[in-house]
Amino acid sequence: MNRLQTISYRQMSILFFIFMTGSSSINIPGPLISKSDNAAWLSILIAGGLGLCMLACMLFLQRQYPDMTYVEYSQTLIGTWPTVILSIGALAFIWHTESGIILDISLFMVSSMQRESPLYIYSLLISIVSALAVRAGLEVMTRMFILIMIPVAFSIAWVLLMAIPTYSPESLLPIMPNGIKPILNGAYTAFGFPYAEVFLFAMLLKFTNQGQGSKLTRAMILSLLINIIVLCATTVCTIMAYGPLAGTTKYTLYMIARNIEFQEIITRIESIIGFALISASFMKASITLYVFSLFVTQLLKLNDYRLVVTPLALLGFLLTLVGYDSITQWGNISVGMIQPLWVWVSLAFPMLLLTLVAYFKKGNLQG
Amino acid sequence: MVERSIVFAVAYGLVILHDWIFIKSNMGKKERGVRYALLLIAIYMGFDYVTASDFYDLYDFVEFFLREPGTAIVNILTK
Repeated sequence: MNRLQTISYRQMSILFFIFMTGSSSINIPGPLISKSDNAAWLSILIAGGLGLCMLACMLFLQRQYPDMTYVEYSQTLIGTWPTVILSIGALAFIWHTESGIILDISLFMVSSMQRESPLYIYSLLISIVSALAVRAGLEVMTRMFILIMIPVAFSIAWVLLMAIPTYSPESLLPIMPNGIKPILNGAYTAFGFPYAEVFLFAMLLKFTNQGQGSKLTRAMILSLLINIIVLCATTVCTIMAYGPLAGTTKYTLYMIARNIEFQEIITRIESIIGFALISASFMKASITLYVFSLFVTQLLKLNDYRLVVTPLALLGFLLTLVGYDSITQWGNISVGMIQPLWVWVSLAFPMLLLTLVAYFKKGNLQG
Repeated sequence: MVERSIVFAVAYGLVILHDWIFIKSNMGKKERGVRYALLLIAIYMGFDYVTASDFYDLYDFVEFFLREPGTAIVNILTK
């Protein structure tokens, strides 16, 4: 039950790619284009750069403390009580992320495919399956998710390729008609979701097989770079397909799939994107719940993370029911005004602080 | 209210059922305390959901601290 589960550096990097790309490729383009217009892909590049900086901090700390998770080396570097204080914001954000992913699936299903069904049905089912996946352990989850990700990635790529006849490259111009502020606004939002969530893997990097440190570094950076390219490509394709209307719809990849028509045989294939979103979001919710359970377990020095999986999954489900009072409030929280600042305060600041402390401690030891 | 009660009862009941089947009865005091604390929070949120009372929750707490500075930052970036 308490055997340390490890995975290879390749599996870790693929898990990272799944986590970062899965649901964001479907959710991000629409809201981002509404903020940055045709320069949304530039916003992704800037936010991705910030995500790379955060990843660099995590990998530096991982090299210093290869047998520790974020909570463990935080306790070593700054002490137990400062770690607890800094972790309050991070735990709250991870809880919000877990419920947000589950709520996103439910809102998608209710708004796009099954309008008469209540939200709680999908939230409850996803929560149950995620909890069972997390209980199975990291090794089982990783092997399963790699298999699921193959058809998800294929279906997204296929939809983008099949939609080529609908693209208008002239819609990409002009790029910066209103100056640089919309790009910065988009970058600020995109860092809030998904790039700051890189932080969650600070709890998982310890579970890579021993002696694969340098290979892990290269693989993780490559995963994030591929994620940035995929998100940029999805956003650019969305702009080309919808032009000025690209920022008005939320699930743009779903809408693109709706418009595909090939020889009057292949039509209305949006259910493929529905499957891709649900699968990808389920994987991301499971990884988030796993990190949440591990974080709580290590912070409170419990024996086994499995003891808290089901209560935390229940809390995530309940937050989807009572957390937000209106769609407008949810929009403001999730991608609008609050989440981008929340991640800076609860994730980026602690990570930077620990990196600086570790850097100066390392300098003192060498000096 | 009846529908909401059933939803909450099913969700909570599944957790209790899982505990009964999978969780060993010789859990430590700390583990037991943490589980009960989390389930207590779940009861608070469940009561909020069943009675549709809009109790204070995570987002109210976060908005209290971050709404104004977040709005100010977004206003600077959009003007």
